[in-house]
Amino acid sequence: MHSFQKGDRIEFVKDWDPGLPPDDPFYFDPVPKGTRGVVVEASGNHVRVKFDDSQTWPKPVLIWKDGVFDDQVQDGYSCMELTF
Amino acid sequence: MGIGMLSFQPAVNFTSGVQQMGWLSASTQVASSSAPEAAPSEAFVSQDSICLLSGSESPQETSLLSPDIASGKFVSPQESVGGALQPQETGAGSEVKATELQELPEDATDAQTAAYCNGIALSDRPFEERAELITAALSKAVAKTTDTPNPEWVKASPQQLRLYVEETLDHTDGVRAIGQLRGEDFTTHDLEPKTGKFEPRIAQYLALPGREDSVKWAIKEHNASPHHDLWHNPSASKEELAESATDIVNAWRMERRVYQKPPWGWDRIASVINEQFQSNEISVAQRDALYEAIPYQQEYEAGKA
Repeated sequence: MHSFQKGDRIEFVKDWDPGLPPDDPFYFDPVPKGTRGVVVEASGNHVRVKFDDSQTWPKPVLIWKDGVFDDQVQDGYSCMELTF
Repeated sequence: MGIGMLSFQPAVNFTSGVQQMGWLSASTQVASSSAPEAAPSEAFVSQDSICLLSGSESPQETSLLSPDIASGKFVSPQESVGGALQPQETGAGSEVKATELQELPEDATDAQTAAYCNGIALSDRPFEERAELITAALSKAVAKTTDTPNPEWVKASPQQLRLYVEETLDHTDGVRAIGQLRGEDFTTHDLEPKTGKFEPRIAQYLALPGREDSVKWAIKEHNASPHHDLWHNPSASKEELAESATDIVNAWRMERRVYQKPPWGWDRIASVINEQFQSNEISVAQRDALYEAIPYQQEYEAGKA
């Protein structure tokens, strides 16, 4: 799995549904394949991505690296790839 | 859930030494259409009964909690026999009084249905029985209600309502029990009049698994509840946020039947709280309230295991 850095342009190569119910305080819409954005923050186990579509995702989205947590929640790191 | 007790020590680094206050954004704005005209009669076939949607629905009556609750003194499940709230007609509107409700009238209003469901939820009947009774009453009311900004929105089916009722009972039972552990009274959590989860106009869409406008509208309606309102109050202290934080942490730890979502692990919960605070998505008070809710949730789960 690629490690992303701040400033990287990314594209989702797979659909990703973080599984957040709409009433979750940190809810954001599922990310379909083809969605693009830029990494605005990167650490060892997560990134924050600002998507180009600021209407659907007005704020940067917190995306954890797959396997960081020992639960069944699907994380989106592996759905992202570098793009231009 | 088999989770061991964690000795939780939050490790928070303040960004640049500056504490910036931030709070969760307000719930999504949803454009609401004008009030619908009376719907033509149509039949809705449920698993249990046939309900007719009436085009001549009487205006919604306002329901108020009993004077005890309205004054801030909550009626605990032990105090209210059967835990039932019975609406009574008082001319222009209806008041909900805490009396024992034996059964729901055939022509129950939405307010009466919600009060009945809330009472059943708070009773000491077994979980399955409460789920059955509430689902039956709510299914009937949902099929009948015309209280919606858009009559073309698809309503939840009885099967979807059953999942929703079970999830809501799971959650309200949990929050109430955790309230007792904390020495607080969270009895009416999500069971408030007008904004509670068993209000037919809210349940009809909140029970849906999608993210359509109807669901967002129902969330917005439910988020007018005091505990949700308070969460968005930048002046609220962490003590005042106890119920809201308990709500959030309990929901994270639940298996969400409606959305088919697995529970969050403790590491994820702690990390999300920390990261969201670091990014000014939540305030100091919200962060601390969430951290403080964790050991109580753990204690509750340990008691259930």
